[in-house]
Amino acid sequence: MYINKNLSVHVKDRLDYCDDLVIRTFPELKIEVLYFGHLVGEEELKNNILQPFSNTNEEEVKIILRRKQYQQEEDINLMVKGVLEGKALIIYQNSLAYAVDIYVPKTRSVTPAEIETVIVGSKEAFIEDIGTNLSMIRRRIKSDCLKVLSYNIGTITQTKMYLLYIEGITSPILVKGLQEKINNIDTKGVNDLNQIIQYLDKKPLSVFPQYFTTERPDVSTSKLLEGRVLCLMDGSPYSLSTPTNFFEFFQSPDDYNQRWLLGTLSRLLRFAALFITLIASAFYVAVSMFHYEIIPVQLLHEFIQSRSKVPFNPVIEALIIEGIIELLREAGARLPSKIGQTIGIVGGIVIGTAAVEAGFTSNVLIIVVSVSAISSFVVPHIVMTASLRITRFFFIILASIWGFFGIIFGFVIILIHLCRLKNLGEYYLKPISPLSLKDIKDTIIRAPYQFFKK
Amino acid sequence: MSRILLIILILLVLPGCRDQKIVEELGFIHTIGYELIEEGENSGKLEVTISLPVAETLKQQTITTVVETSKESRIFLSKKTDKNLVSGQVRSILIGEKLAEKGVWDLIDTFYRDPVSRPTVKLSIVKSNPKQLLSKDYPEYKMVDTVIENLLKKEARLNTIPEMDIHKFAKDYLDDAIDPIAPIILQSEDGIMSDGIGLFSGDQLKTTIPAIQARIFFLLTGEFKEGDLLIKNEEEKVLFSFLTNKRSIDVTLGDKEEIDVKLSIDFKGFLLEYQGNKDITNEKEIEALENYIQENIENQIRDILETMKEHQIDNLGLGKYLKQKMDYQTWKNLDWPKTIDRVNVTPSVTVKIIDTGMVK
Repeated sequence: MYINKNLSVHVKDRLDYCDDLVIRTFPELKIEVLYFGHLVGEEELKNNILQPFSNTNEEEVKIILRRKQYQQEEDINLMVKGVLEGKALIIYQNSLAYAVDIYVPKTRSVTPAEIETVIVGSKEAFIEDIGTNLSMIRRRIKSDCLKVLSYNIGTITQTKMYLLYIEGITSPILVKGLQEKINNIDTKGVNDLNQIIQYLDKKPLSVFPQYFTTERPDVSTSKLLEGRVLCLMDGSPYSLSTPTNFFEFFQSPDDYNQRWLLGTLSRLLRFAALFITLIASAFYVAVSMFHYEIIPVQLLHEFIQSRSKVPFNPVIEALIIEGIIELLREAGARLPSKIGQTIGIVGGIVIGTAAVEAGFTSNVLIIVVSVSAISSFVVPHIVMTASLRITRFFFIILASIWGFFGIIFGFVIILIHLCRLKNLGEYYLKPISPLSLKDIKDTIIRAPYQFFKK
Repeated sequence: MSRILLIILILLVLPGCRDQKIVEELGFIHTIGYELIEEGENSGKLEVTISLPVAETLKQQTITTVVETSKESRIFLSKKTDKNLVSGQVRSILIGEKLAEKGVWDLIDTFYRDPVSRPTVKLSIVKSNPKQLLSKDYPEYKMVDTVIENLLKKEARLNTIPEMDIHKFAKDYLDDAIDPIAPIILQSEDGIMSDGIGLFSGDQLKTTIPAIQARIFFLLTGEFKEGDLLIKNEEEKVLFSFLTNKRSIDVTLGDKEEIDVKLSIDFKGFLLEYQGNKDITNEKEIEALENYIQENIENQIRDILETMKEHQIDNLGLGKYLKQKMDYQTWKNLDWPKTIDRVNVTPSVTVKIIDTGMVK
């Protein structure tokens, strides 16, 4: 596409809705400069753009533009591509375009992901600076379809926030829906993206997270490509994506980076862990209070022997041990990592072994609670883990009232709740409810990529 | 708001309906034994013995009581222990020989109806007294009841006794074309041992088949698919291991009241051990050996059938095959199994030795 007239308008049209685009004009020279601030180096910008054009006049401009770093571009596609790759585009007299490469991405102090770690894959994580975070995404998606809208949140803090989406993939209704929600946020200030989420929640009383947050740019990029809307906030090393569904919280980049069979198996393992962490302790309570019939006879003797020393009712016993595990977990999270190891020793060895020997709890329960705690760490997203921790207590109480019936009752209640949850008009349990067999290949299992082709 | 109040109200009220059984407060009856008392002041009453594990010592406790009917035994037994007696973990029922001869359906019915007790509770007949069997101190066993359970399981796998649980017993009892069977165990000097099959007529024990013949019995029922068979007389001893067993029963209804049943058993296998004067490297001699085994088995089958005819019982389930051949009225008029001696059973056994193995 070769356009000689109104070049500036055409280029700007292609880069419409990109609020991170910087446009500088030198009206007396008839020059316009376009670039993405977060992709270019300040020193380079100063040397190649600001200095040459600020101390010159109209006649000398032509001579300056003949220097070798300014490459004349004639194809508008290449111009846009250049801007996306970190070049500055100089539009002269609204008809000639020159690109100059001043690409210095903001990579300073990018650290490996600390919470969402992977075995195979990128180690990059977001940092607190929003410009750097945006440049990480722009570097991964070099397309003019990636649109960026800018907001300021908080009447006093005026925190910068970007809303990202890919034109042509993301439904405009979603963008409009989220825009509206963000505009409706009425607060003096927020400190983190995870606080914004709670302002956006449609059902604040639900225990389940309704927005997906991640500290990984690769995950954020794939969310964008799946047609979701992404939010970044200054000062927060997280991105938010929506609409969210339940199964996202059980996916890890490892599933996609490793071979599909391994990905599928580890995903199935995580769903098994979901059930174990939810009902292991409740199952113990139900069996030891109601359903003695199902204990294998070989285990029965040891089980009663260890139970007979315990002075508490099984449900009190289970709540005490679960409570201790929660204490350990909370202490581990608050302590500096060097002292943190001590907690493991105190918790694991001292409390675990001594509690059984003192007849404070039965050894079967220690196993059950540990398995359920380990299973809860298998769930890759810490927000979901926290939700499951709370739900587990709900199950223990129900099991202590009605046994197995109580556990089933709890499952039904939670299932009904999950089915009712909606996020920007999309169901939380999609594609299981409402069922869409076409989309199921990337929820409970991870099918080979060849199957994803339409 | 009123909905939440309603839910809270339901949650507060419903726990009253709970049927809590906290595990350490329970006494799990593992084995339960019944015997009829024939002498003394309690004559005609039931002697009920239960064994339950005591968790604190990991030993077995045995309690006995004498009651009029089996249903009231729980109350009397419960007085003698600090635990709540429950029957959800009952693994085996031992019935004394004397009681078995009177009829056992009442006892089994109690368990069969109880939703808590599993249908796989094993049933067996004890030749000596169940109380003695359970309460004797065996220094080599920690818990006798689990030994009995494992013994029954193992022997049933080796096809010397039937694997009889109350579900199967009830099914055979209520079926008019077959009579139930049950394994027999007894207390010997070495401990506890299994001792063949008890044949029932209805719910009453009639006669027994010794352990050595038991495998032949299972050949006939078709349950014995592969394993070892020992055949011996004064001169020869053959240990025959067979791999395939095909059994078929053909019923031919004659003109008048004759019923012909052809029992054909066809199996292949190899020699494990042979002691005798035949040269088993010679093909003709092998053939002779095959004939000898066939004849021997056929004779044993005739013995079993003779025993059944003598007591007018049909534990093999020949009636099932007869029933298929006749209409319902004829079957009803037949009054099976009292008419079993009208049936001509011809056993026909084919043995094929495919390998003589490493025998000299």
